[in-house]
Amino acid sequence: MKSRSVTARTVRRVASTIVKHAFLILMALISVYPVLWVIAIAFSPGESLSSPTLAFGIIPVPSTFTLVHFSSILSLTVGNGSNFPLWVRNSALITVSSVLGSVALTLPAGYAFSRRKFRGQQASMFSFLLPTMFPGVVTIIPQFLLFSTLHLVNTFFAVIIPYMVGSLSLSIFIMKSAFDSIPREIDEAAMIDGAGELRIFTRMLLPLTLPSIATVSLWAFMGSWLDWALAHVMLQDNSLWTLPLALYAFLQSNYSYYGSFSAMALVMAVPVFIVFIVFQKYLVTGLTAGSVKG
Amino acid sequence: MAKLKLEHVSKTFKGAKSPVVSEVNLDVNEGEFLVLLGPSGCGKTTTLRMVAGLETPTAGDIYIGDTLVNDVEPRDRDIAMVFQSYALYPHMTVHDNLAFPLKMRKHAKDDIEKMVNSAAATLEITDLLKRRPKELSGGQRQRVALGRAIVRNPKVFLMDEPLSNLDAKLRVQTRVELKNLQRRLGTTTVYVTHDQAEAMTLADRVAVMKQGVIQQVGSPTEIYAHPANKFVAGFLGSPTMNFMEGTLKVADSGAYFDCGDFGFQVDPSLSRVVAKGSSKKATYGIRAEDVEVDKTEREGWVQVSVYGSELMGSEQYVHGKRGKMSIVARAPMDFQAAIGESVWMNLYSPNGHFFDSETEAALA
Amino acid sequence: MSQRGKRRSVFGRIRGSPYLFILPALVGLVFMVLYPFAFNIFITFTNMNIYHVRPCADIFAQATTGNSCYTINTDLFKNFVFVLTDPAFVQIMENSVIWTFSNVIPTVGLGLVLAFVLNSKVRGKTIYRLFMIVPWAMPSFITLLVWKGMYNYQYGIINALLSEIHIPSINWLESSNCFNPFLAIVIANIWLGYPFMMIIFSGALQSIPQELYEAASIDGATGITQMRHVTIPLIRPTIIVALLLGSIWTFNNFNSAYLITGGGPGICTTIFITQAYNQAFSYFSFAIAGTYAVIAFIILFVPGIFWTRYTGLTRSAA
Repeated sequence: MKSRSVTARTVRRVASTIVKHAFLILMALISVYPVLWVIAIAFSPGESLSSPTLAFGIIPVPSTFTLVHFSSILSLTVGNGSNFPLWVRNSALITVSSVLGSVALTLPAGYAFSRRKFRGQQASMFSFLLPTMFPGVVTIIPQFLLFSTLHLVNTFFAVIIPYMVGSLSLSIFIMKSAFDSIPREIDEAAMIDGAGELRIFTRMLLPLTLPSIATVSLWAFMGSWLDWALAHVMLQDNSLWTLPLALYAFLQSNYSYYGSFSAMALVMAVPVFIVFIVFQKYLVTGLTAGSVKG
Repeated sequence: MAKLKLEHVSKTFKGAKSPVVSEVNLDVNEGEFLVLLGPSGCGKTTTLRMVAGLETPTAGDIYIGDTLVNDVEPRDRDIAMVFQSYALYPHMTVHDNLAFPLKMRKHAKDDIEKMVNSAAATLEITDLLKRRPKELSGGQRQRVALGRAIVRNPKVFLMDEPLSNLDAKLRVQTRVELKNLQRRLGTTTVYVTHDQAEAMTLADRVAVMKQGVIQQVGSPTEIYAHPANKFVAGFLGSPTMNFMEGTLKVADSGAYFDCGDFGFQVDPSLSRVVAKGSSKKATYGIRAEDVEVDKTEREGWVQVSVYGSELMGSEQYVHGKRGKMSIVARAPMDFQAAIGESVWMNLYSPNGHFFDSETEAALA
Repeated sequence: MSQRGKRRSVFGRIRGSPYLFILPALVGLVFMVLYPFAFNIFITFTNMNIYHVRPCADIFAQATTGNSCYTINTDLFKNFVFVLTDPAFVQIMENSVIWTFSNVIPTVGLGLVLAFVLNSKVRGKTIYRLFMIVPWAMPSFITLLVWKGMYNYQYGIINALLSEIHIPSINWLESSNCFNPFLAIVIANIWLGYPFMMIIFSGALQSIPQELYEAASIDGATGITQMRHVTIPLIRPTIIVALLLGSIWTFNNFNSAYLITGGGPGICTTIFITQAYNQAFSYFSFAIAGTYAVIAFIILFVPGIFWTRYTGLTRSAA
């Protein structure tokens, strides 16, 4: 009797493991498949979608491994001197400024919502949530009109400021939740030890909320590095192009340069991907704070 | 209600160098309240979880009643467990928490209601039935956890330090109620704790464990008065038993314990293992309540310097130092001695113990 | 308590006013978000488009086609009426609702299943996770364009694979039967969205204390019963948040619907936001675009409030 039940259990266990792994492998392959195409096209000669050959009839691999697209991107020049290093510089500048600015705006606000009470607190908190419910793309028009009145169109300000503010909505709540999760007793202990408010903020609260700060930075990073719509409207000179804008140019004309497009796409996406992998678990804790009731 | 038997039970976790539980042999009688007592990490909780079926033994057999249960799932063992953290289902009301085990066993709805109400009445939580765990105080949650255990009337109760999250006063109160409850229900119970006072109050028998090995099994009075080794002697009783190293010298005139710097006579009945005329290195143990103290010098008593006293209200414990040794004696509340003052302590008592210096086993 | 103005506090020093802390963020919010928001509402009452771009000096004057400025419509809700009576409106509304449901439910479901599988005893969790995060980690406008290529009738890999198993090629993106393009963008969007759900639910599952499962197994519950009575009730709040947030985001998700089909063929795959975008940047009817945006906002306001209340995001710390 004992041996039979043990065997039955083992069979079930083995079967379920096989099913689980099969399912996971399938999902993993599906997830990665389009990216395999991008990689294959980027490393294949030719600018068409069918440049790569298909291994096993389904997996795209470079027909002949070549770096020609990458080198052509590096030597590419558009208009009067606008080239790849310039685009990278522009994107980097804009992104770093947006991230720093976003963090600078979010931290004090999150702190104020968490550790202070003041009139209009609920209302202002709620108004920070409004943008999430509003279709973002359409706000570009009034923003454009505003900046053109200020003669700031075609400057980096016109994108940095909206980027900074754009990610505020969720970021403020992530920071507020993070500060909320630190017990007041820590503030009080530091107070008694003689620390002033600023020191408490910088020495105690900030280090303890680093994961959430990372989340906020990641959110701002993604919002600015990857944005095309706003940049397209605000930055009209091609000396101001960011990577997404340049990327789009490859697909504008009648003949789409898929090869170069894929190569540049990879270059753009790799930093995002790496940053993402490193920070992904922080992203989630920030977003669902308070929704899991233990 | 059933008896419990553990035979040569051992457990080594994967990747661990030494076993957490080693060669445990235990017989728990029907209706008995057995306490597994020991410091943290001694393997008592692991042993309990093996009986529950939450861990599988690496070696050995576990019997509940006459059935070998090694390969039986927890839910088929007819046991109930109270966790240290209570593990109440947070999304269910108290009523549903209590009803859950019955629902799982597909009892009829009316029976469930009856059993839940009776368990709730026994534990006096009937007015809490509609509440959720997060609305309850620690003590109330603890009762609900107990309720969930008794509602099914299982063969064995397993309890993992259920009182340790309660405040001191509540703990003492609940102890007595728990003992009472168990006696009324008559269910075989295995209870894990590191608190020796708890063990003494609750147990019919105590099994003292250290580093996975059972040191001694016996009734509270037995292991208190006749500890099998130094560890058991030192673990039970508060304040801890006084220990001193020295040489036991037995002569015709009596037995003498030489601690180097000082010495004193000991009750000869304690030293029967040592032949007359010989001596043996040993550890002498004596409890504070068996040590008398006096401010005036007395013959044969040991002089110590007072370094503190604990006032308990009904009595006090005087701590004295002699060289590197410290001795605690019990004294009445009106005994007054200043720190640094010299007092004399009487270490001669028929309630002393001798332990082998190397093996730590009790002598005689 | 404390006096107005500078406050002496327990800190022993003068505290900064909280208003100062939120001021920069608030200013940014007002200018970059609230003002455009208000402006958007405002222009829904005007006839602003490419021909009438600047506000007229006399903004309440009658609209004339000659002027290069815009005025407030004499018939205030003219744009709303126009949009709501447009025969396309019903289709767009339908599309938006179906789009939301057909995305959110599979995404949440798939994410949930994967979270369960990853939470059980399987080896190589980290590697699987790494692969399955890719759709979320890669910039969507790149991957969506690849999906577009995959759906290509003649050269796309999907049809190529179908022909391998002897299924006739499907016209994904240009079929006049709206179902095909709609299905195409839904599949692509689910591909984009499930990693996020998977991660959220993984987090939720991991926060359930192991002891609850042990107690349940002693109480007599196993496997599926445990899931029904312990796991699901405890992650229910997370599921609800995921559904709410997912719905709000999907409803407004621009990339997936636009990049692959551009809203077509016809208005087969047009949802509110792509319509607003087209009106603004293809037809340059800014007022109409704004109208669509406002309608979308009104629709999303209710779930938005639910979400705020449910998660207590705006509640001050106790």
